[in-house]
Amino acid sequence: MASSSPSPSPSPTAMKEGEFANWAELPPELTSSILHRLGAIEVVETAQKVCRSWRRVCKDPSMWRRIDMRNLGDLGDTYYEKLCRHAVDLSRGELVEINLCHFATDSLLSYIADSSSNLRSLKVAMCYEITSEGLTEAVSKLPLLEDLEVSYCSVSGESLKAIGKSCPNLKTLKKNCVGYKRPRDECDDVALATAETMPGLRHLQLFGDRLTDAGLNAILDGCPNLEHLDLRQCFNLNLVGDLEKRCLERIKVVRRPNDSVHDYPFDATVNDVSSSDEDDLYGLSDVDIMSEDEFYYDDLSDDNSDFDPYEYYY
Amino acid sequence: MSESYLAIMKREMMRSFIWVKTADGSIQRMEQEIAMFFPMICEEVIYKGVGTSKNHAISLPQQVNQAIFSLILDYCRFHKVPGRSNKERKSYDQKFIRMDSNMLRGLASAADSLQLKPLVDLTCRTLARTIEGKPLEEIREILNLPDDLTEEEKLEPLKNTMDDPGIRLLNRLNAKKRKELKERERLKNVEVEEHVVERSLDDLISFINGGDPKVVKTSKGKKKNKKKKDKKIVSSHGKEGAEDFHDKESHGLHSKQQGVEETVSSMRAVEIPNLPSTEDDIFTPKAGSEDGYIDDEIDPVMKEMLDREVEDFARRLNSNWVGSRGQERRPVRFSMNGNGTTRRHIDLSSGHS
Repeated sequence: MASSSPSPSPSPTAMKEGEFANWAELPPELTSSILHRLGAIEVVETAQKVCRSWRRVCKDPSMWRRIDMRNLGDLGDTYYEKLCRHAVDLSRGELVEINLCHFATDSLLSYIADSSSNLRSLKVAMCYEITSEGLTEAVSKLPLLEDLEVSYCSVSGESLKAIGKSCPNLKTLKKNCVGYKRPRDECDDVALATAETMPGLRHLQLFGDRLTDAGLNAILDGCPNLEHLDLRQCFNLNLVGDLEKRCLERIKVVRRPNDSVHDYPFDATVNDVSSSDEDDLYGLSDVDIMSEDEFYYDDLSDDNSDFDPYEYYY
Repeated sequence: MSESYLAIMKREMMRSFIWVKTADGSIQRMEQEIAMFFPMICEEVIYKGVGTSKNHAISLPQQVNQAIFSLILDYCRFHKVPGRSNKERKSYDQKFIRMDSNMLRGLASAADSLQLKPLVDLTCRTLARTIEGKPLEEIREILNLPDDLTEEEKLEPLKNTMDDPGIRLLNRLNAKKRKELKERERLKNVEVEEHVVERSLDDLISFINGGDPKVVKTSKGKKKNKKKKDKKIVSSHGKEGAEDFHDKESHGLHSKQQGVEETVSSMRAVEIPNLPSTEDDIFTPKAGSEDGYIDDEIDPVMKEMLDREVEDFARRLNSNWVGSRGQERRPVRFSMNGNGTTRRHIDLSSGHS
């Protein structure tokens, strides 16, 4: 080491020589770590076309062990689905974690499940095309699943039961939805499904769920290993007295129905139908409509001349 | 008394230094408490007994020259202080990483070789941000990377939708439909002087214009920046439907030159059977138009699928419009000019053209 040739001094002017060498010397894991942060789309469309060494890194399965397709633009569901499949292909069965927003469908889930039986973490949010049956079917092929999120998607209690039975290793379940204040629509389907089939659960998030005290008790019975329980906006609950005590004594972190939502990643606007403003059926008037504009534009693009903004219509 | 004891201990600790040799041969020393951040240094000290004196300095990995080592020391010295708030740390980090990309890369590499994970994360994150959203040429220039791929390799896109018959079909359908609509418009103008389109379309337009001015869709560049903002995602289905729809409209309005005309045209083209009859005049395609855009090459299965998608969308739309109808009641009139373009005027009183 003492006699090694001095590496170029890191001042800007002296960097010109041996430039290419420096980037090539970067361990591929590091390049991979940098490029991975660009997200699936940019990796496929840009990064892999920059130069040879980057292309190699971008094609490597290690780049595709975790796929995050949440923060998308407006290039259309078809495109995103295609890209997702491509990404899954590149993972060559090594996919461990996948996170999708908006565009996932039953067939995509099936595709993922067929090729990635080692999947540990599956997260889908606001994917309106996904059905309970589709989800159940896909998850039945993912026995090693530990982490499941199905927020703002339609998933029945029956489906959750089947999922619980398919995935004995499930440790985290997040099933969030819009909180309803009124009318007091009660439903313990999710709670009971969880209680019956997910004994290993450590982390449970049921934001906006309509469970009652009975449902919560069932969960406490059925999931003795719970460490983290998020019950924000579960307005049918009456978390007092013995029930409260039961929660607090066993579970490390409990988020109560009326707790602050400042750290909640989704829109926490409550659906409060009995409000005096009758037009405000969907709580629209109080919401800053544009604060999350990134996520609206599924199928539109105003700057790609090949792409038709009205594709959705057809 | 405990205070002075602590002071003594601190001084003692400060006095023990670990000696290292950077890749360019310079002998440096670092405080023991800092050295503890580096697993490899700890190992050398504990298992090989080196580093405790100038003559037995630990050789640092080849990525760590004197300048970079000095930077890393600064970083560690700042962050090892326990009392600092997250805000302070973040602020320091932001200032710390202000250097050119090559230096940054060197630093990332060095931090990686020393297994200093927080610094690796920071530098990688910053490098990613440097690359993010930039076109190929610019990336190569900034980072001084060779352009050594074959033409074929460069054209390995996903966007090459020519491969997918489904997408190809859709594109063709669209193009044909639009041509059809333009035809119809032109024909209609020959027959009719003025045509007023009312009601739901108006609601929609007024929603766009009369409503929140921020609703206007921004350009791609801006959108990329928005990606970096804190994410808050709209949750309710109904809400999303509304925004989907009116944003589609604003796209139509702002991105196309014939903007409004296209909007009106495409709205007419869409068959949305579930909507109440008052909207039929807008949404039901004119007689004869259907023949116009039945493409011989579309297979019926595909057409069914597309129709189903449209219906589904309409259903979402319909359910949402029931809710949002109350939002804006100012009617907006569309009138066709003689040459096929439309004029839009906001009509504050009801009833006249």
